[in-house]
Amino acid sequence: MFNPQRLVIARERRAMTKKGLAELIGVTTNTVHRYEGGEIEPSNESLESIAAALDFPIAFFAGADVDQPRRENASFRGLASKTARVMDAALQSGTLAYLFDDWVSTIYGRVELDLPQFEPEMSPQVAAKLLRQHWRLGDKPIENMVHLLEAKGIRVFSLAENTREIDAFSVWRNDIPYVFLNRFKSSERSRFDAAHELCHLCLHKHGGAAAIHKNSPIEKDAQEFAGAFLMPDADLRAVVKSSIYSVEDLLPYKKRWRVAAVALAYRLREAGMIGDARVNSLYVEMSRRGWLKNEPNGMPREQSHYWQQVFDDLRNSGITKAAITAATGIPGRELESLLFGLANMLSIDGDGARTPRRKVDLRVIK
Amino acid sequence: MKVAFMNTDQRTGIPSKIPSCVSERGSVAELLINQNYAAAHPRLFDDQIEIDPILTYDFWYLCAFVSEKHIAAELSRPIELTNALVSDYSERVILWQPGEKPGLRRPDGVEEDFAEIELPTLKRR
Repeated sequence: MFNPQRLVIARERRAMTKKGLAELIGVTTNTVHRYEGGEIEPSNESLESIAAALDFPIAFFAGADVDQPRRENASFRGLASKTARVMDAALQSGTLAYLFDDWVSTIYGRVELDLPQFEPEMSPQVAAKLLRQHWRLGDKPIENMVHLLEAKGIRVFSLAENTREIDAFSVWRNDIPYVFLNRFKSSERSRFDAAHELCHLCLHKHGGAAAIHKNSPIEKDAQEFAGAFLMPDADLRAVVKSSIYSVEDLLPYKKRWRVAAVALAYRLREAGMIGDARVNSLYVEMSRRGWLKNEPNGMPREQSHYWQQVFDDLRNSGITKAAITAATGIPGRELESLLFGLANMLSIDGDGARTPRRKVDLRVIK
Repeated sequence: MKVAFMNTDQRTGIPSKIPSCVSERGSVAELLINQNYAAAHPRLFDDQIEIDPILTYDFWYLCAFVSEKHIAAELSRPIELTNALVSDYSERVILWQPGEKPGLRRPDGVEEDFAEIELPTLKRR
């Protein structure tokens, strides 16, 4: 049974227009439009062409309706510069994440959500402090943001290659928060994005985090929250004792809080520890050195604790990537995209067939 | 005021150290430096140093040190020579690029000390 919703999901996931798909499968745009509207069903032959063009298994198009993250529920960073097609592709990778997450949840228990909700009017600095208190983190740096989010019941996934223009986005699905991080950025920036999305989840759940623009107050709040959450005021003042004159002076400190040098400079200004002129000169020098694009002394990417445990257990149970695709309809490379950099999936690669054992001729040599 | 260029050593641009030149100064430079010294240390009843009238200007050096790692420069007013090498200045203007502070010590040994996070263990249903 063909499910038109799934055709929309697959097409949008590939950031393809109806016209583009129509050309690939040799039908008119109107025909694709009618497939998606459920007015007509594609023939078996057309369905095979669709599956091949979109690189999804045929079985995917026969599945039941699935939840989809909607633009109005999702908070994207820097929305203004993103095209609708890229955003839809990112949202549809969210749909696949839901599908995969549902499948995983049938096998494994999940961590109960522990995420307080604050009034949207609350100052981001105060919210960051309260959240740290609630989670009993004190003022010390966070070693791994992905671990922290997972430990509090937040689902963390990666954004796929064709949506790398997007920094991150977060979305609520009923009462479960999901965060999608751009794993192609530096680890420091990805951590900051995670903290930024954390702000939207605890401060803007009901406050219209959707359709936010880079310069919107909500976006600025999230930046401020991320800075304060990752680099608490008390720790900053206790540790940064010498003056910051040069970008070089930022390096040892950025290692402590695992943030980008530029984020640290702005946070120091926010805390009143350096002035506007100094931040501007640091910014100019960082730009000149290319530090705004390539982080100096970059740290390794944060990996997921939860997903690695899942894949290790799946491997021990003999469940391969092919088996997951068969069960969920999610193509193997989409699974890889969703968990890119978060967990090592090599352990469940392959189709489950064992390598045939070679008969070995042994001779006794006297 | 006149400014002359002078190649100096690795102490250039470091406020706590005094750079010196890499080659000996000539007699004209010596006269000018002595005049700088006199201007910097005026004394009421000392004999006046006789100086060529055309050399009655304030004399400064643009000191530069270039290595493979960085360039340091300062605009400094020499007042002392030792063995024909500049050994002191009355004023130094260290030329820094934006965000640069050559020669000063960087903070180091910042501790890595993280908040504790209890990682959940995977449980099968």
